[in-house]
Amino acid sequence: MRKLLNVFLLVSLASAILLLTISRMNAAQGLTSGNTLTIFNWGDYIDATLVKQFEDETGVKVIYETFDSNEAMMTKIEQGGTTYDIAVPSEYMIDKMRQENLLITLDHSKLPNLKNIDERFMDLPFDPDNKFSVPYFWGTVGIVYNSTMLDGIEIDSWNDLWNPKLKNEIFLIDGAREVIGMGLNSLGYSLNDINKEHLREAKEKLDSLTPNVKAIVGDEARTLLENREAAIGLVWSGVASEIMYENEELEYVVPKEGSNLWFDNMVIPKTAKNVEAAHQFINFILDAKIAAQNTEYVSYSTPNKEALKHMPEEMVNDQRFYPPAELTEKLEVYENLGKKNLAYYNELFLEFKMHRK
Amino acid sequence: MANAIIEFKSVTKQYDNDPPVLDDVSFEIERGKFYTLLGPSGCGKTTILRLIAGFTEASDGEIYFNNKITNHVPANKRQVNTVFQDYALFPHLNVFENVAFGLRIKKMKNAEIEQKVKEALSFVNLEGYENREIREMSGGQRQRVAIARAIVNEPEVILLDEPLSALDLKLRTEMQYELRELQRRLGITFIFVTHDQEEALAMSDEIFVINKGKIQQSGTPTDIYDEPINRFVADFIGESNIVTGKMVQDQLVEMVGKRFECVDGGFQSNEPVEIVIRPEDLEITTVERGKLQVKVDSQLFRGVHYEISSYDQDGNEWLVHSTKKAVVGEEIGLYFDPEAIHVMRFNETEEEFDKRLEAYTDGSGHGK
Amino acid sequence: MENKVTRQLYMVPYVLWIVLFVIAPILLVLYYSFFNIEGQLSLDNYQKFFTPVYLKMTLSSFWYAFLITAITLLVAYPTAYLLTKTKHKHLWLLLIIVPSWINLLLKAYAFLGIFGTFGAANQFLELIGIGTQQILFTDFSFIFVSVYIFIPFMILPIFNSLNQLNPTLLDAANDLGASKWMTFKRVIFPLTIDGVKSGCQVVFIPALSLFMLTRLIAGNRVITLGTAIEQHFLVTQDWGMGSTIAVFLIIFMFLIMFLTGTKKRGV
Repeated sequence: MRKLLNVFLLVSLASAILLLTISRMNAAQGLTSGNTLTIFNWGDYIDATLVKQFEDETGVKVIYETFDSNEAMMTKIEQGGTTYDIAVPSEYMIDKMRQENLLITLDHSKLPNLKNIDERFMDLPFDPDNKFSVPYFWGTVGIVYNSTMLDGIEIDSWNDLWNPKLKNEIFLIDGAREVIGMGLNSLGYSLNDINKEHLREAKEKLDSLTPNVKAIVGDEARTLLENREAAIGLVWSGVASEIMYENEELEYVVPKEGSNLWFDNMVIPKTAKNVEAAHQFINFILDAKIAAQNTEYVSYSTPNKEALKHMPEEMVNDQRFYPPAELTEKLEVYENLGKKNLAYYNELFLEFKMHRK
Repeated sequence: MANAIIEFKSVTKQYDNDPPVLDDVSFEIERGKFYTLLGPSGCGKTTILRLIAGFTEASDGEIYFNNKITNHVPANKRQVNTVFQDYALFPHLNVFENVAFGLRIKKMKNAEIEQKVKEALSFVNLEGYENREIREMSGGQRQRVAIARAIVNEPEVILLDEPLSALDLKLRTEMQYELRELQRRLGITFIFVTHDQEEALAMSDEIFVINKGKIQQSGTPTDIYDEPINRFVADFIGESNIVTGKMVQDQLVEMVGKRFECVDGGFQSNEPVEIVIRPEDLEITTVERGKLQVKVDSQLFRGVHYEISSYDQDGNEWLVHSTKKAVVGEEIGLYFDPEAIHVMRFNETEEEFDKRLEAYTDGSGHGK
Repeated sequence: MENKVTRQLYMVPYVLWIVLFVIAPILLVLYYSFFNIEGQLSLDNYQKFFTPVYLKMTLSSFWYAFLITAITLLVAYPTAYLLTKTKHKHLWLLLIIVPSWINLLLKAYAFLGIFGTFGAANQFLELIGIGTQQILFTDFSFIFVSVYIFIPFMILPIFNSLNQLNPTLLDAANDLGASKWMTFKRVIFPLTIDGVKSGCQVVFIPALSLFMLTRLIAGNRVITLGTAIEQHFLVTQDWGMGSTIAVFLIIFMFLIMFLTGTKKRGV
């Protein structure tokens, strides 16, 4: 009993010393708990040195937290346990949060760098006039493939994946809209189709893809594809560019039937405490050079047209990740389909997963 | 010996490089008798039991069972059953199933099992307890279940490992009678392990006194009590007054500076010896009439007698059991018969001891 | 009188804990389960549970949980038995338990590497002439990794009950003519059944709702009720349906606890 008490005291003491040291170090850097900014972002979605740079320039202490799905993020913001000052949701979620009054209107006068953003990515249907959000990154959904493993099979359409020679060669990402969307696109339907018959049809078509699907995976898709575990993956463009950098055999294509065009935008949730610093940070990220550095790190496509001037040319000219306007026009942005339709998507996806047994 | 059921020939049991637990032990067990292995804890008596049961194997020597070497026969194939110190009843089985355990292993028919279990339970006076759980039974009852579980298998030998040690005094005495009685009725060999000399004296046909991995002495209770072979046995069995002295000649011994007549013989003249006189053989008398003069140091009332501790001039303690009361601090005399003196040779083996005894008592036993 | 008051005072933290962290969450889950996706009070979710999709899922959850528990038991029991026979048994036990301190995700990722097409397992198969096999994303890999993760939780209670077993009972059985196997069947196993039961509970119940491994190791080829709950709460945001599945899981758990419930025996 005495021993236990001693251990307890020791641990407490050690924690206290640790806390004290941290606060001393923070104080030495001019960071005080009064001026903090809490950022809620996707995992590995910012160059950490930029956060440090922002702290040094402004004296604001940044607390950085991550999430791995839009829904998880929204759930946390709705609950309001933590006061997030900035979040980075995707477009359909911004639409939803906007409708549910979870966002604060942005003060454009505090965001002079907003002029750097390409007109193409401004004033989109999910947030007219960018009242609530500012583009952070954008990208597509497509197919990444390892040409050396395919025996000359060409891939430029969704329907190419149904080739019986591709048995057990495909990784799908674990996302209902992406996978069902692939089914819809392959049949020539819209990604935002809510016609139940079309959706059923898409699901049945997906069922017939089953023999070719090796696994439905999450973030680990990167490692798996990089390590040649399978030849093909349905992924987001950012994932593709990242692993293509690691493994040069990999190629990325946006299927010709069409695909998803997505945006991740920065917003200030209702829960924000430090709205001033939030604006400061958004403007900081919109700076051309900063955005360029961030893009090189994250390797998704930047909407910042001024930033492109500070980036390596082979990156900017890569049509796979910076497709020309005429191509992006063919792509669809996810619409907020409403809970009920979304539930139907998920149910079909679940059934598809079950079918694989 | 034709009637021997178990025989140990130079059996040694040793773990690694520790001193042997059993050191070159030989003995015979006859059919149908009640044997007791008596000794202090750690003397090796339980090891003998485990060797007979087959729970452990001898490091050296042979063990015979019905004249067949049995060293490597596994325990479950031996005609021997054990009653364990903590009874080792199976807590998940009721009384009936505990007793039936061995029979079920033999795949006996249910009707037969039922009959035999009932018989065994009635043997130990536990009729009607068949469906009790073990945890519902008292210590004495558990003891009986354990015995029933052993006898139901009709073994040739039953081994009992300090089975009474967990019982209170009254129950223990009762069970001593019962066990003895049970052995007579069954007519099979019992080998009983205990460190309680009273228990051993009360129950046994034969006692093996064991110390430090060796059998010190074996014989009937009276033999061992009256003629202990050495200081250890004398001390361990009953209360003893032991002093050193020398054998002037046969039938004459010298101790505490005086010479006394005795009945022992077969010694060299002036051989140094140890002398035992049992407390109950000392009689209180006047200083003048006493063979020894002592001063009473303390006195305890023991119920049937007084236990008096006294000292002679040389500082030897003399324990006296007397129905007469003494006065503490008073000088008294102690009287004893020549037969009360028992002389022991130093380092005499049991064999030599027996030979000597035979030589001077012309084979008719130690005259008393 | 004062004694009674202080005793009741001591009960306060316990009662608070039970109410706040056991009863309240269960009631909350039950409450949510009666709301359909549009937030209306209804029994839709319960109706939906009895559709082929969810019934099939339940069945497959039970099947995998059963397989995992059975194999874990088959491996854990002899291991625990051997452990009790070793000289430094508590040290060996510790060594077996240590891996359970490592983060589950970390272990799962490690297996991704080991079982991959070019991983250590396949290199070994290649070496002994069997050749590269598809190991990852199969039933085998899923069950293997699950068993690996659950083994310490099965070994611990079995080890404890074996360790408490009075060794004289084994001598007694042996003495009464029982062979080693008979002793195991009639004495050791019945006397350690409580350890086996609690081990099975500790493994079966979480195995029923495994979700992370179903994706990482089984590549979503195995769908359990846990996967569905995760999806409903985090993706669909259909808390009602998620709660309904949770309600059924809770019912299953109580049923299992009840079925494997133990009468206390002691001597």
